[in-house]
Amino acid sequence: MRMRAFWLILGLVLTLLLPGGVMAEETIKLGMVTPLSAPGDYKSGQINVQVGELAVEQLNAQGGLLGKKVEMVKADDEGKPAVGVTAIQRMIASEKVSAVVGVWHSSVAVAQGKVVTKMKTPMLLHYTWADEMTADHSDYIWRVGPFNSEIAALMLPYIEKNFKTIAVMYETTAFGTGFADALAKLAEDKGIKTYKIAYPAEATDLEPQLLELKGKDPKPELLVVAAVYQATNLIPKQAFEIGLAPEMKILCAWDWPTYADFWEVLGEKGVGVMYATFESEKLQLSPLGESFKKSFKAKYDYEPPVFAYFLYDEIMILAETIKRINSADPQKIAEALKETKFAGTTGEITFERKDGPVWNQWMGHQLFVKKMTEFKQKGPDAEVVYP
Amino acid sequence: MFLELVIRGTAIGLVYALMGIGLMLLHGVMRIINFAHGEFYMIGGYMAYYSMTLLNLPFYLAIPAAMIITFFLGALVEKLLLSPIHTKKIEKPMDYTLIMTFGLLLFFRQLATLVFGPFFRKPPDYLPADFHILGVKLSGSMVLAGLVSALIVFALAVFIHRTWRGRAWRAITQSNPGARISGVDIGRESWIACGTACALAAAAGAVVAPIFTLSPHVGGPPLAKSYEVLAIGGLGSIAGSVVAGVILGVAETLGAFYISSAYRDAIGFVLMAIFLLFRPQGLFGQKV
Amino acid sequence: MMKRHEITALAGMLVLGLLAPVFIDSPVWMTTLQIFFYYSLLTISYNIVFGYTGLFSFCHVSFGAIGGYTSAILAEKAGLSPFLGLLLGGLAAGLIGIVLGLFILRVRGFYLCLVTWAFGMVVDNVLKTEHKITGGTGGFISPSFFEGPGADLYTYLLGLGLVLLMFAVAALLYHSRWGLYLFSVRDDIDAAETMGVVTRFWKVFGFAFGSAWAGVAGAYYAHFFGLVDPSIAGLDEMGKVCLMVVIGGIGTIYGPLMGAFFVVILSEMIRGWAAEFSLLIFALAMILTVRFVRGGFMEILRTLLPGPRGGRPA
Repeated sequence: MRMRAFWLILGLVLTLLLPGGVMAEETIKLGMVTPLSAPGDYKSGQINVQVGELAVEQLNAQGGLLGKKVEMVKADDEGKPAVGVTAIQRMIASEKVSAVVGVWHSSVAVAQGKVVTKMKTPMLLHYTWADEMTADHSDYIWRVGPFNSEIAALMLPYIEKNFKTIAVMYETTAFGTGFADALAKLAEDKGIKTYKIAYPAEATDLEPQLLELKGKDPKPELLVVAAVYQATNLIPKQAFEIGLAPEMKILCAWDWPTYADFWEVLGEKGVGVMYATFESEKLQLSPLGESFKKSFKAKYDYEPPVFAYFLYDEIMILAETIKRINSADPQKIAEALKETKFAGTTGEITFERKDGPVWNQWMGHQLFVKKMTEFKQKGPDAEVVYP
Repeated sequence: MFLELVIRGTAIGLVYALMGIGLMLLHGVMRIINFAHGEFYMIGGYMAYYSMTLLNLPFYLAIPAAMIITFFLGALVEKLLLSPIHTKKIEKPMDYTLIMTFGLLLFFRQLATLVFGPFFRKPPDYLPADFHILGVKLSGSMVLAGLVSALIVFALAVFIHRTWRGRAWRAITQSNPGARISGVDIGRESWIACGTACALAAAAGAVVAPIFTLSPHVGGPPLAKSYEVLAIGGLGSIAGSVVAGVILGVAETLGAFYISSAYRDAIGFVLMAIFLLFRPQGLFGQKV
Repeated sequence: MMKRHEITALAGMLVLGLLAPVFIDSPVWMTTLQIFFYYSLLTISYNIVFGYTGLFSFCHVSFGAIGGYTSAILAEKAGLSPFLGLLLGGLAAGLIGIVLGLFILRVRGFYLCLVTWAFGMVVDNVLKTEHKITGGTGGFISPSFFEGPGADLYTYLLGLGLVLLMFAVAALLYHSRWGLYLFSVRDDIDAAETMGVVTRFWKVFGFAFGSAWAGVAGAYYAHFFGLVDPSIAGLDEMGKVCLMVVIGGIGTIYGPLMGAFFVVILSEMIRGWAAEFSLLIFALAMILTVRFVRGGFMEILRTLLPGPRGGRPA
């Protein structure tokens, strides 16, 4: 039919006439794919972007890399795997980035991992905990941050010393399920009774699961919360509403209580909540670490959470690698990352290759458990209860 | 434990009833199905939030404010987009409203994402204290939600049975031509009813905002629950909807505990499907 | 069988489809075209359920998910070939469609809507809860159709083939006696009964056939995108499909393709400067279309241009 063909031809012609990519002057591009809107964890995503912008600013102030300016290209994965996959495909195919950082949610990252391996561009993980990311032994996935099995093992001594019955509430994603499984196994091996309660990651009402917990006998003494989406603050809040807390202690799996909205949602009840992190005054920061902390605080007016250090390290490692091999080609970078020996912010970073998830993985993490002791307390002031 | 579940279920059930009644009003007076009902719940929540944070209104003013704003929004929507179904001769009014209200659902959600931002918001707790009812600890917000819902439903029931307008609406529900002959202006009653229905949804949203937090996508589950209440309770009886709402709330809470917490939302859907298939008039409804 | 202009259109689309990869260099646009194929399969099949048979099903995309997950899980866990997965995905969706279709025989109008919606929500709930099998909210990574060089091109051609096939089937159905039975269910089911049409059979057929093809669409998506997650069965997706069919013209032959093309290609084109607005604009377009131009694009075309058109019988 003439009309039909006409429409299609018109459509395709318009399609072809459109510019296929960004006409850029010569810059070296770094991809930052991170959640910037709900239901994703946009609060952390915003911090990731801030770290990236600071790092890129510093690099350009020193003259850029290989004589070119460094540019950070942002994309929002919304915390959704399908969106993240499309975003990263675009980043690599259209923007031609040298590497991708800033990836956050495990469920998104696992899907993206397949893409970067296929499209041969390195992706660095600073706080994505799923074991699978490195356990698949891809040449293109590198992790400076910790992973589930490692974290569970580091957390266990504190739990073992203080509690006999615990519960883990976890989101049914690569991160949550992986963490809960790892922790439960280790805990049960030590004779600690562990309840595992799953919930859908994007849930905004956790009462059913918490009520289920309330009906358990013997009652759990500690609740470990493995969440990244909105449930992070809702679980503690509703635990109080249900009447489980404060008799039952709460341990957040990572540093979200240092965010402003923790106090907004929990109010006074947030006092006494604990969280696990990898940084405290007891940890010695390197000169690079100190200078990062200072510049971040100066630019953004708050102290960076621990994962910011890891992300900063990653960007600097990429910069150093590019300088070392004198190329910004993603494949060459991936190849060269093996030889990384970088004086990072919290320790010297090398990537180990052994077995399981220890592949392209830095193993230099030290875990701390901190407790909020005052209303509206900030991270650095929280009390270190372990070690 | 059982008692606690029942009490919690009742509290949330009253909120469900509030939403369901709004929908029932819409269906009775206008004979339409409305997919955007949940979006008015969402808008009501945001209006309450902004009333409290931007205008510093206390909660007992913020909730009515949300209701009033949404009333006018609902009326506007009716006048502009839905009135053709009684004025023009639309071939298939059912299809028309289905698609139209669905389009509205998408439209409002996207608009909310753009205007309010794709972030989670939470208004300050309305009643920071905790209450003990029959030995069960309930948060102040939860108790307030149940009470306010019950209050509004009661007020509505009085309105429907005692005022002229309420009688006109009941007349329209029973027989559209009959009401017309009796002098009722269908066009005008339609937009007022629509506005009222939306205001009811907004009240539900406002009252529950501090408990569940707000985001542009928060309207999905309430929409579903409204229809579930309608299916279980049937059309035409406010008291019936209240009972249906409580049944739904309690069934969900009990089911979540004794069967599976993950499938809590599915319970409502299964109940709805069962009623639709085997007893379409619901427990208390009139004709189908 | 098929009208002459439809055969010409089919041939035209085949030619254009084969030429496209030659001229389009960007992998992003190739992916977009494949997304267009996915939505086309969904809209054409939805047109059969809603446009031909008049059933406003709200769980159409859920059948897509059923097909997609079936194919993906079988391919990943049982080593099944993704091509077989297309078939099995469609079959699974079709069988469940038959069962659900039998249930909904009793209901009409908006009750049908609600029941199918309830079903869709239950599917969504199951997909997210049984994370050990389905991967939960994070989704399930599925193997691709092809490996190695040229894989992307072959996947594209497969998609093109599926769309052309579906288009031909839908057009044939439209002009056939079977199609007439479906239309009769849509237009006046009681009159059809009195004329001797076994409406119960055709109602289920229309529903299940369309749903089966939705399953094929889902399976195609699973293997070309590499990931299935519960979001493909969400309300947003159902909305998009509905929107595309409405904008294009419900019940017409070309409507679904035009609607899908319009929405997908346009979203891609405005992605740069107005990305957040795109769904908003489309929703607005849907509202305005239904309000003022009920027949969608096809009606606009019909009024603007003289001559015979492949449109919905008045």
